[in-house]
Amino acid sequence: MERKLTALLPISLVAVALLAGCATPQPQFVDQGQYAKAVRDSASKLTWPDGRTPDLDVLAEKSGPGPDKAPVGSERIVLEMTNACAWYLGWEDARKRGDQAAESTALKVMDEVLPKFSPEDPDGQRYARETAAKAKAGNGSLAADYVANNCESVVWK
Amino acid sequence: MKRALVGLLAVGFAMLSAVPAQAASTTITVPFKHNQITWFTTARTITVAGSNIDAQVAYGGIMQLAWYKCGDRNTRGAFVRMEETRTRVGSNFKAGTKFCLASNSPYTSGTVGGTLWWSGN
Repeated sequence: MERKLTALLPISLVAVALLAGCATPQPQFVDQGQYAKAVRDSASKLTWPDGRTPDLDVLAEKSGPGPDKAPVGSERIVLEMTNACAWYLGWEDARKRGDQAAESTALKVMDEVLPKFSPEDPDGQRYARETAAKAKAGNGSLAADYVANNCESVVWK
Repeated sequence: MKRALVGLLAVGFAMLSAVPAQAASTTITVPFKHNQITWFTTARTITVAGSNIDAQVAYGGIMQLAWYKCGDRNTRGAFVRMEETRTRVGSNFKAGTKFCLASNSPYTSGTVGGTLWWSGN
């Protein structure tokens, strides 16, 4: 009997730990107005290439919760994605006009900054690293794929 | 007998090796609200062209999930009722696509756990 109880103890401890894990705080939510303000406030903390600054009103309108709700901090992911769009397009812009300084700046951001975005998305970080590696070798195919699949709704100023 | 065992092991290894190297899945905890859409912005990246998004939850039939483009909630799939078995949320995504999830429920509010599959699935 004692042996049975001893055997059950670790199981019950695990059960308590699991239940405790379920008691994590519920996420806080924001409405469209609060979301739009967060987008405006956070966008200024990022650097943008010349000619590729997003229209933040349009971005907040398209990516925000509208009449519904979004978790607090939602703007970070959207701004990071938009920033990646800006630098991939900025790099291509610079290549087309033969601006080596701008191309070099864009490559540096693609290599050192963009792969650090979205730590909760390791696939995305790997994709960003591979995109930078290919771009440094003169191959813009992954950057073009990213732009084609994620950036069509961004309006640039 | 020994040769047969080695053969079986080789087949087993080949089957394990045939699993796409970039297959992705994770456990999820999804809050949902009664008659209100919640737009989550945990972005996930499709790295294998033609991948599907599937999900299953611990309690079926009480809530719905949809995928959407994280930067544009107007580009999205239809809401799909989640079940205790693996259920398709979206199909045939292009490599490089970042997607997010949205939830709602016609019945109640709450939180449910489950599993999400994407790249290579």
